[in-house]
Amino acid sequence: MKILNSVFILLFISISSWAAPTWYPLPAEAYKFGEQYPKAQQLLFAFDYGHALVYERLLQNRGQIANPKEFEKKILDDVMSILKNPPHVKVDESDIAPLYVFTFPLMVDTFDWSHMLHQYILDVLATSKDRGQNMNKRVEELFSVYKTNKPLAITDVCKTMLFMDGHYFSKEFRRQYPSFNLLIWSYHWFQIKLYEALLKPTKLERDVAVQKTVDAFWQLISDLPDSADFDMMPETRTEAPTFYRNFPLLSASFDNNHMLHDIVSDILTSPKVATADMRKHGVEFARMAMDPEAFKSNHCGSN
Amino acid sequence: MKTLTIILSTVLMSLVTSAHPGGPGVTKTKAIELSAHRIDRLVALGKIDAAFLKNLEKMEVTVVTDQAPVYYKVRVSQMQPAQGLPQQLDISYDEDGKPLSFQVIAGGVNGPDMGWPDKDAGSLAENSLHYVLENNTDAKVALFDKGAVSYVLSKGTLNGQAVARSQMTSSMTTEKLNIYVKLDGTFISAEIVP
Repeated sequence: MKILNSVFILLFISISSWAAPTWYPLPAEAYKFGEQYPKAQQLLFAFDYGHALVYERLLQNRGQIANPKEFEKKILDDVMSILKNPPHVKVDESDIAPLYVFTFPLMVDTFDWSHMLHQYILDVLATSKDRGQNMNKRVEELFSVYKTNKPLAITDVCKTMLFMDGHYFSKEFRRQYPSFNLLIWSYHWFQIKLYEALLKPTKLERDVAVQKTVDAFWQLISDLPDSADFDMMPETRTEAPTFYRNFPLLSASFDNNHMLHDIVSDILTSPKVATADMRKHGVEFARMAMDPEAFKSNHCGSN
Repeated sequence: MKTLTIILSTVLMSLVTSAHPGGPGVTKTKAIELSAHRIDRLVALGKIDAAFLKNLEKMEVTVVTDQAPVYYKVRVSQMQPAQGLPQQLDISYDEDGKPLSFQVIAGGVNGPDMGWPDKDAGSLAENSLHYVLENNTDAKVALFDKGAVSYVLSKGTLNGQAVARSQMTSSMTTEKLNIYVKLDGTFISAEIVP
């Protein structure tokens, strides 16, 4: 019996540690993007902080937000302050948003795992001496590592927008909090645009393109909600066509990640979602993001 | 020779003025679908009345040839009132589907409330139009994607179930496309009818 217990414990530990978002060994390029483009890197750290803060406040105040506009303005001011004074290291979400992390455990791990991939791809694109086959091969290697963690890897099969918008709670966040929503879509736009900028052939061109992306981001959020003129979530195919052509599967995986963020925002905002159901939905929709058949589009990889 | 020069110039100009010599970057149905998203945003920002989302009934798309960079104009109509013209809105796009402007048409009269119980009319339209965009590799559906003229949303019954029925017409066929979705926006079926 003792042996059986030990086997079960070991099995449990191995399953848990397999699913946990730890990328080991760390890629040699890890966080080198930030050495070359510190302003852009710090914004990315600030986005993680900003996402977590908005989610936590929505959860903490759920059902008690009498004036959504005022609520939005207050948090927007806080987020802007973070963006203007961004952290220099990656923040731990459980420190900023413990309730969110507790309520959406699988979702949090799924995002963490995907964000690591985002980061390391940026690191490779920013630092690779080879700008052709070897660089692309390295990106694909990292993508393969990502996909081996099946309990957390978001599928690379592209999904229709109904994955994001086709549920009983959909669109509530963007309607209640248009500025928050456009801020988050601007984050996503920024991430996508960085990939495109880093595919420029020369270092000088990449430096200019990254700086332009940073400047354009500030312009986008300069007077929300009017300054960010997105009617729909920015997609890789339209915002980063070179990256999409070179890495269509990776692009699909990133777009699915971004749609999943919108789903969390809607679950948190919609009064149609019972508080008791949020945790369950968090697991269901994270699983859906991983499922290649759920909301599969007929147009994957097409231009 | 003069005629030849004029013809060549015209051909050259048409190529130069279009970013997509092979046709526009988005189809007519996509322009209509983008309008459902546009309405959603304009309502959320308080720039147009919320009834455009709630009581949307019809969207008609036309290609504009003399107001570059405008390429598509979509006229959105709310429910037809007992008398007078319905509330209407024009949205213009470039050939890549980038929204350029919007204008509420003066003189419209409020129509009846459709009372959609679950999803608003804009979301029902969007979900229905996804059927066309997702299935446009089918030659018959493609006629509606590329040649769309109008989109009309109405209440209907299908196999005894209350549904939202979308009907599309196309300049490329005399047939009509009916798309049925549940009142929560879930796709049920589609048919092409004479």
